[in-house]
Amino acid sequence: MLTAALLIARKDLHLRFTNRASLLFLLALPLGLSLIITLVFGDLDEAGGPSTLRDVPLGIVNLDAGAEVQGQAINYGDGLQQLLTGAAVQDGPDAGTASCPLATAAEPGAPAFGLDELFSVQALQDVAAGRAMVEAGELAALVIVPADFSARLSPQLGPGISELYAESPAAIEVFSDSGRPLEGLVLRSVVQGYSERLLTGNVALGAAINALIAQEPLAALRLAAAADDEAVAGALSCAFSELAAGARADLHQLGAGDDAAFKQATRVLAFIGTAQATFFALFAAQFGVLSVIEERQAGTLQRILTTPVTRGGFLAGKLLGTWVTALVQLLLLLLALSLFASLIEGRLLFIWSSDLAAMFAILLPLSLAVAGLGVLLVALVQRPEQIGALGALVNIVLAMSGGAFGFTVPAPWSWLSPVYWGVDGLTRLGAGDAGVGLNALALALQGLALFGVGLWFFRRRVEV
Amino acid sequence: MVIGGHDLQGESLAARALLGVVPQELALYEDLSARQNLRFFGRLSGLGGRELERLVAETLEFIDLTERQRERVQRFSGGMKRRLNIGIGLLHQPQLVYMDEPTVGVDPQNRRRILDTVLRLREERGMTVLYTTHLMEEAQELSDRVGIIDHGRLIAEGTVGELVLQAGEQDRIEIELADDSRPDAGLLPGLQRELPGVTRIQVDGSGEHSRLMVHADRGRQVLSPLISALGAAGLKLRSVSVQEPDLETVFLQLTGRALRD
Repeated sequence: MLTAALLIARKDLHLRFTNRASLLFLLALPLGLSLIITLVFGDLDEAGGPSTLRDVPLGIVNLDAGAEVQGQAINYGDGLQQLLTGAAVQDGPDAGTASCPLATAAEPGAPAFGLDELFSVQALQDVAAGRAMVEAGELAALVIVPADFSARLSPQLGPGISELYAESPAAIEVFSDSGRPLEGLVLRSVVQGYSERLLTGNVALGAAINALIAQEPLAALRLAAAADDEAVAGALSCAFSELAAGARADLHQLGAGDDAAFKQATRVLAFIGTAQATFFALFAAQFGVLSVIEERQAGTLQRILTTPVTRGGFLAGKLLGTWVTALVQLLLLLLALSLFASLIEGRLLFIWSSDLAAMFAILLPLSLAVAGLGVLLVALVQRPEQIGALGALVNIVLAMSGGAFGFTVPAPWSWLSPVYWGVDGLTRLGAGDAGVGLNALALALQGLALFGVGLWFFRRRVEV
Repeated sequence: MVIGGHDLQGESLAARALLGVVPQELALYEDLSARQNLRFFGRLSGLGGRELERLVAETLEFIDLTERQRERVQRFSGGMKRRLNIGIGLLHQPQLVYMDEPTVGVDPQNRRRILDTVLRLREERGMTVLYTTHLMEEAQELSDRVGIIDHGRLIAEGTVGELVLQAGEQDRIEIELADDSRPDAGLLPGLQRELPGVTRIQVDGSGEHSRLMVHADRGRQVLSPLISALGAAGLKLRSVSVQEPDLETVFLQLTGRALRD
């Protein structure tokens, strides 16, 4: 059975990838559409976020217990919460204190972020409840500030600082609704920006030194002298460099993996690419299994079944060929869009991660799932026009419910769609989150289940 | 149904391994070459390695497509496609080949080639060929045994001779007499009694040309004594012809002349 399946798959792939019309449909069309949409909706010259978002429902669970730096209480979690609600954010624990002499990036008196129009923030106490609200679609995203966030970001001047902060990162977690990736991307930028402000010393270092000076005025003189000492300045720089490297925001489904803000075109490209890749994979799969009907009409299916090949072997071959087709389409589409994004950004940029293992972890089962769906559809219909109509309907429903069009139906219904797991997985990869095991498992199970049901229907047929 | 000792239901794969099928409609991959088609179906039939290459080469030679083996099938003529269609069914040298009207829609030259191919399969390779056709002359030429199926039922089966007997058909000897020849009234009943196998003799035509119609089981055997007896009786003959019943006659006799849909 395996040999027959491999032979049939190889033959299908040979026919498919030596046919110009097939290549056009499988590769050029989705790529072209993705680029056109990007060019239409993405402003290639702007670096700002999308301006059409308003009152994005957002939850924040601030577990930050705060920290004490040189006797001063600080809480960076509160600062983030104030930032998101649009309240003024002050550069330090005590408004009105002297500005930090070493904080080159500091902008004393800089206007606070005004995000109240963008986000409608709801403070929550329970992480599980917040995640449930995201999954139910009540919130676009949930920000979770860990209890030790301030403690880990509070610099303790002295020996061993590098080791201290390299042990484990200070991590803000952001869970976003995969069906609302634009909101997620914007939120990601805000959180990332706040983290960077802290980590570059704009807030944290200033707070520490301000506290130090308040406690011991002579410390200002010693620090000023130390700043002239090249060795000390270098040591401080190294210490805070390590600090920055050891802190991160775990932005699930958001772009925490990127250091710099993306241009809007890249953001649109990331969103469109994720949606289009998953959406077109459905069509690629159906296009692949259409060959079953074509073979039936050409008589080659019947002829194959007069050889020592079972129906299961035949269908497995079709699944395999379609699986590879969908995988190749996904890979090439994502690669091409990443190259396009690199052109936009002026630097090499892998939108969906450069981690090939993680990429394959999501693309392989995603391809299997859509191929399994195609097999089921082709087992149910007799004529190409039937699969055209039924397939388009099924694809659109799955894409809509799974988040390929920018929204999703509430869980658990959305979980039934392979598109949900695919979009979610790709968005996670784009966020630098390689934890796509659940997505991979769900997609693989869906693919096998769909194939199994399709095979059952196919075997029950009296006539092929 | 049992093929080579293997039940087609219970031991389907084993039975199918012994079977070659040549469908009525072309069942080819038009975007593949003749060679690729043969190799693909050969592998599905369990062939591989040098054996596959040898059989592909032999089959291409057998169906006279060696020169065009690397061309895409879509460029082939109808006859070439027909031959390839047959070749795929023969490639793995099955014990039993089922051919479903393989000459439908082909020109006379290709038809002749296909019929010769079928004859060679039996004579050179010893294959059993199950051949379905609506053309009785093909069945008569190719077959050791013929089965007649009407409305999905096998209504007669045997050699052509057995079917003729089964249908009750006889040879007809038609003798045209010269203008001035007229048989005596007592001649014909006497001949009918004396010549073995003759069942009926009748005279047609009363004008210038009279014809004798002689019905006999084996026309050619009674032809010589019949002509001798007529000569001895003083009759002059203009022409003699023997019409043996063919499969078409038998078929129509067995199935009737009503149109089939």
